[in-house]
Amino acid sequence: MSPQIVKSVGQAIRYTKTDKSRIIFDEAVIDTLMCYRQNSSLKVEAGGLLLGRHLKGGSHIAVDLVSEPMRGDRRTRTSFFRGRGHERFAHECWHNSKGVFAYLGNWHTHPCMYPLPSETDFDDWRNVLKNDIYEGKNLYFVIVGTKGLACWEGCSQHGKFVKLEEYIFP
Amino acid sequence: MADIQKQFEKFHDNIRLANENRILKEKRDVLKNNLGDALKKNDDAPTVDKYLLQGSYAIHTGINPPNSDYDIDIGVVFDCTKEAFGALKLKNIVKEALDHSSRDPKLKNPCITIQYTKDGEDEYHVDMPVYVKRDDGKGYDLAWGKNSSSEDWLHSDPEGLVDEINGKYSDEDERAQFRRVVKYLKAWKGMKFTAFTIPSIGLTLSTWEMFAPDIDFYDNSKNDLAALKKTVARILSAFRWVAGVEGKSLYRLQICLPVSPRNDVFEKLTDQQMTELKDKMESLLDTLKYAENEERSEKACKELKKHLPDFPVPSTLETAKASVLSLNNTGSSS
Repeated sequence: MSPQIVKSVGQAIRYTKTDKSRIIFDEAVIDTLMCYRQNSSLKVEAGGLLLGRHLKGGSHIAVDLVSEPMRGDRRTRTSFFRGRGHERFAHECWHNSKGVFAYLGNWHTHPCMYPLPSETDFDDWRNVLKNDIYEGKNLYFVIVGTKGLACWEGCSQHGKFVKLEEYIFP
Repeated sequence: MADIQKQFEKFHDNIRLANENRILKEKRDVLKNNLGDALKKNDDAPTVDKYLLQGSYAIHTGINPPNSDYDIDIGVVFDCTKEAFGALKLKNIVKEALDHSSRDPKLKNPCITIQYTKDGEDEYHVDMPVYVKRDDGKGYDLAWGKNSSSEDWLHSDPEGLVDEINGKYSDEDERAQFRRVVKYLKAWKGMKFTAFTIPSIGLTLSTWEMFAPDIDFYDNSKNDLAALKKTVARILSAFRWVAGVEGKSLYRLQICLPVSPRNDVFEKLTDQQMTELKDKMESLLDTLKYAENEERSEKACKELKKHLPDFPVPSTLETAKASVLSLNNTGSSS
């Protein structure tokens, strides 16, 4: 099938994980992230957590929703501090879904076209990979640039990060 | 790929006309007895040789009709040949025998139809083709027509057709999957075609000719989504271009009965209608391909529901594994 047909069904974005299965960002999630793009000089950095499902019958992961900037965060043009409220949001989702909606990683924005993680970003990613509690051994990290997003996979076993390739249906 | 075989099986349970549908069997028996009794009173009438179970009921591809107007097919074979009666004369004898205060039989070209209603709504109808024997013993002659200008005897082999269809797939699982695929396509047709009807026998025979089973060699697991997708793709590839009208190409699919009279079962549809069948089938194929790629079962099923009536959609929670309660540290990015 040509990619155009898939697009008409949904604007979900997929990346191939290192185990060859996929992480799927739902259309609604993409729409939300796109709203926070720093595509004007007035917009400050934004961030939050990635939440969703470990799908049955394989190891695909679906990102169904994200937490968005909230009280307790600190935001400037070039920095974002993720406050305590995001964990509360994650717990609320987990409880409401009877333990299905899992914490999958985090996201933030960068005021450039093709984002790369800064040292501060790596410090945060390494910290959460080591000290957070989550399902499995991987977390996923998204940076939203002014043109689009990029996704990295972090592995708790060796503390390394791999940039993932976008997956297009054959 | 999402594994939605369970949803396909549930969908099949919803649409299939259960074999043990007692009511239909009772109606058939009542009608047969009534006809037999009434014909005995008519000295001109030939004797009934046998009744034929035919239609989707005989090939196990019946589905619950979308408008709940059930269709019962009973063929009646008389113990005589076409030389003894005119086709119309014989049909009228049957029609009169069936005439009854609560029944209003009507002549149609291939059969006599009796529509039963309940509370003013169509409840079910009986189609009764009338046959006589042939000297060569190959099938029967069908009494055709509803007036003197259309009256004719047509060589027809309803039993041969049932045998052909039921006999092609010797593997039990393949045969069952073939029947399911036919039922999926009939349910699709009921949902997508309202302005005109696609003859069910057309979809049945297209599938019969081009069915592509999908059953795992090792664990015997069924994949109805893949079987339906591959079968639809093959049917689509058999459409051929017939004309271009005002910049739009027209296509036809020709599928002939495998027994006498071997006519094209789509012959009554216009080129425009056949092209609409192709267009809608392509849209179905796109959705089947999407569903095969989509990892999230609920999204795949939601799209399928647009083509297959009331296709079951699992909740998002059913499709995922349980997870631990997270602990999330605060953090900075730049």
